[in-house]
Amino acid sequence: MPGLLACGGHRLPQMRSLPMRNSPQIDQAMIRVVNLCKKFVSRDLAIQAVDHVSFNVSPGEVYGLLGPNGAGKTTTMRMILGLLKPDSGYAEIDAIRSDLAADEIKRRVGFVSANAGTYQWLTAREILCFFGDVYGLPLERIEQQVNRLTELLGLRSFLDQRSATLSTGQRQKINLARALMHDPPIMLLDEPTLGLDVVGSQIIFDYMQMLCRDNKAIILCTHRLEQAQRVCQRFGLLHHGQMVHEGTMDELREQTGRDNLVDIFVSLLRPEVGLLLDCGGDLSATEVRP
Amino acid sequence: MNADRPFINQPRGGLDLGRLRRLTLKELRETLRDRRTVVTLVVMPLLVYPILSLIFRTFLLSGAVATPSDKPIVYQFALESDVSDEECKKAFGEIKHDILMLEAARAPMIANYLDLKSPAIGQFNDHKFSVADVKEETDFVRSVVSSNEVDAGAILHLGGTRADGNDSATQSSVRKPIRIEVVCNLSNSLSVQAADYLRDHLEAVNRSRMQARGVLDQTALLIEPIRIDAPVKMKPAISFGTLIPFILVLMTITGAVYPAIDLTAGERERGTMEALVAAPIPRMRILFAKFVAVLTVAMLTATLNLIGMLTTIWAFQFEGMIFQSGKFSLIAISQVFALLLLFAAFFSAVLLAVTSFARSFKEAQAYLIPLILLSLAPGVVSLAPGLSLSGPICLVPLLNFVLLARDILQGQISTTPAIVAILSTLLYATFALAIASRIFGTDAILYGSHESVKDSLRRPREPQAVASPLTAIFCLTCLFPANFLAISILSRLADGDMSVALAVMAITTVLFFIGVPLLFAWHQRIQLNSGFALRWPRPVPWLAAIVLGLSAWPISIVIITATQYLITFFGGSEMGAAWHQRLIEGGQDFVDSLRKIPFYVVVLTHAVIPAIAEEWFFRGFLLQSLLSRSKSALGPILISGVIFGAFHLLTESVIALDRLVPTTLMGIMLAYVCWRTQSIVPGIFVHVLNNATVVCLPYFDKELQTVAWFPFKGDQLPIAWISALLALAAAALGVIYLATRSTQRRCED
Repeated sequence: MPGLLACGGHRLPQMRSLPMRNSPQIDQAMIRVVNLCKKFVSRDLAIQAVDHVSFNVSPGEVYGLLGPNGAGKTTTMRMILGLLKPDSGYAEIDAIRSDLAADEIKRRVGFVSANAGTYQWLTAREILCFFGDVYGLPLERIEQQVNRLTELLGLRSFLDQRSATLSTGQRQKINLARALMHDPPIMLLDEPTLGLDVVGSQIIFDYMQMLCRDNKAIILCTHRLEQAQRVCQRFGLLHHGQMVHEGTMDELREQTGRDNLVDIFVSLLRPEVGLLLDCGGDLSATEVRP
Repeated sequence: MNADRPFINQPRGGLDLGRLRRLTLKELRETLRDRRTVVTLVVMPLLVYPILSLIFRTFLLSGAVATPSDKPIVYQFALESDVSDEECKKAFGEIKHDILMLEAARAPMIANYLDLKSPAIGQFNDHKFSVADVKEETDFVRSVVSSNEVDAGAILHLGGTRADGNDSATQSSVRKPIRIEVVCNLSNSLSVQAADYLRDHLEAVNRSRMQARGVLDQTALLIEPIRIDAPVKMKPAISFGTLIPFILVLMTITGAVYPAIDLTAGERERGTMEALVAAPIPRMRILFAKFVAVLTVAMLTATLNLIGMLTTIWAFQFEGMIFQSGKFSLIAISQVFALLLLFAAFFSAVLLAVTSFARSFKEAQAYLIPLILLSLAPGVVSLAPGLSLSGPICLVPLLNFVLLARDILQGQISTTPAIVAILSTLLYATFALAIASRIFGTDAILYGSHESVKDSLRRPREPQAVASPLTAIFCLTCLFPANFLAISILSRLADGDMSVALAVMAITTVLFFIGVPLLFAWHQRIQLNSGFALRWPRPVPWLAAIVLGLSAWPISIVIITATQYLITFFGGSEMGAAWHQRLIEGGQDFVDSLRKIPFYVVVLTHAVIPAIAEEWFFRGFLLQSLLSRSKSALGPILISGVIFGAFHLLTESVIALDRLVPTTLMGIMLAYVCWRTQSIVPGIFVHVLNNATVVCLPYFDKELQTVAWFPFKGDQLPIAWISALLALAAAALGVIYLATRSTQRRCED
């Protein structure tokens, strides 16, 4: 029954963009996000989580993907990494599309998700070695990387302690180290400072600047707007899945007429949250749920 | 890119065993460091077996030491005699009845002689007797004693040895002493007691008779004890040989449950899953490492349990009840262990498949409780006495394991069912692992975009085009057992009356296969046209369907011939012939009963009603739902076909394996027709005509034999005609394919 196989199947998306290089100006961009769309449909409800979002990130750049909860930041990250398939549009890294060759993308990306945990019965060293294996590193390379990251992130004091006994900050450091095990040129950091105190998150931001000097392209999602303002070179402000503002801090100031990210955020959310914000809440500390 | 470009590890081909080992080690480390695992692993066997054995021991002892004052023990004896009637007359004097009779009440002679009913015996005055006809069955007493059907037995021989007894008829003039062998089962304490009692009693009786009656002065009773050692199969209670594997299974399951949840749903709950799926490693490899880890923990649990169990058995001297030889058999234990490994592999895979579905520990537990209860059912069934590993039972997971392990322990293993059981378990394990790898870490599970069961039961606000697959599967799971039960109950009520039975079948078919999906459709606001594929097809496919319906029936003949060939190939020609004979006889009975009712009723109940109802549910409700969520039509067509086949396995009150393959093929073909024409109407025609032809041919067999041109005479089916019909069927399918090309293309666009 040839018809059985020939009909009814979806056609494969065309592979044309895989080997092709783009124009010299965009060539600098390591991450390209083009018209990304994603809709979540449950039975009676359809939510447009990401709605035609486009941006580029170059090596050595920290890109702040900001927005209130539910703006579509995490979904965008997952689509860039190839964990979710976009409905339309695409994301590419090194000119490789994530919806076509997810494994190629995963090899190039270090990912720290918002609710990343650790294996509580394993030590930091065991966790790092495990992820080294998962990323297919040779044994000697794993050892090398564990030593390098131990020095870099200061893991020495708790390297052989079970992770259940560690503090939140120490565990977050392990997560960061875990994402760096395969020395990826790109880092996707989704709320890497979630649950950390001021000092803890400061340490993470310092490391990010260091990674940036290392010429890595970084996308950062965070609610810590003041620190984001310091560490990120460019920003994309998402709201209801749409890219509302995009550019450097100066460009944002120009677009919105406001001085800092907190104010920009307030102006963005005011129509929805209304008077609540007029009391002058610090958005970096309290989360606003739309 | 710049020169100091960061290291990007290259993909590696093939399976890196060292890496797989390290991945597995990580999973094992994680599990074994967890105290909860260790508790199930070590503490359970330490506690469970001594307690269990104490219970058994108490139970056994209480059986042995009954209090005579309350309730006298009733021993059951079997008697066997190779003494001829003549000899008996000579030996015992007057005889009123035949001595060799089956019922004790009608064999008073031996009983009288042996004085077993004598009130002088006190509490042992209420005995039952089984007296066998030795002319038909030799070693009757031995077999019933060793199978513990009776407590002890006696074999009467005329003369000094048993061989002499056989010649006794020829030496009828000589009066010989009667020798009695008392048979008991050494592994049953009750049997030993009964035999002791019988021997004492016989000796006492003999003494008194010898003294008191002159008739018997020349007849001396020689009483020799015979002790046979057969494993205990307690009739009303649980069989030990089955209980042991069953407990082992339970313990293995217990051991595997926690790591399975922890390594899948736990991984997600702790937030490590996303990091794992963000890595460029095939999910199958991660899952395989997890599978090996769960299997290892399950086997560690099984090993510790086996050790605990064997120690207890040894300490309490229960080995006679478990092993056929009455002693520990290392070979049997290692065979059971290997079998346990296979079972653990199967169950670990099932557990992983189920827990991969769960988003949290709690959810996983909620899924597993029904699964474990469900798997207890075959386990409990396996404890029923007299159940043997044969037929469809070989295919029932868990049940086949417990029975096979029992047979190994008792040294009664038969090869074919064992191979079938092992192969089917292997197959299930692979299947479960494949499902697990499809589910584990998918974005649907990770990001919760899949429907939960609760969602599928909630009434939607908007009209739906088709049923969601979960609704369809829920409907199916309601239908299967309910329909089976209803038919069984109602046909029992019909009490063999064919017309009532047919009416019942028709009503239940309509109620269940049209009514229940309609109820679901109403509740889920499913539009009937799209949800049941109710479209009027264009004439060409419609006509092709009629041709297909009239020409497809020889498929089942081909399959039956192929099955018989296969059975003959694997099981020998006798088995094949027996299978064919059974099939023919079954078919003949069926046709004979059909001929008693008018033809139009037959067509209505066997062709029209089932065709409409089954198309309505299987190709309408179920297939449309499956098609709506699948990129390719192949999967839904095959799945609905297999479900259709499996359903026909169960429709009658017996499991008819012979029907599986033909009905599955039929289901696949009908699903294909429905998918191509996007309507159930042509399928209804195919189904009605096919069923009608299949019923018609045997119904009018006698009339057709007289028609000269009719090619099929009795069992003689010309191959040329079969091939021609099948070619016609294939052509009809081809026409349907060609005629529906344009609509299919439009649909894709």
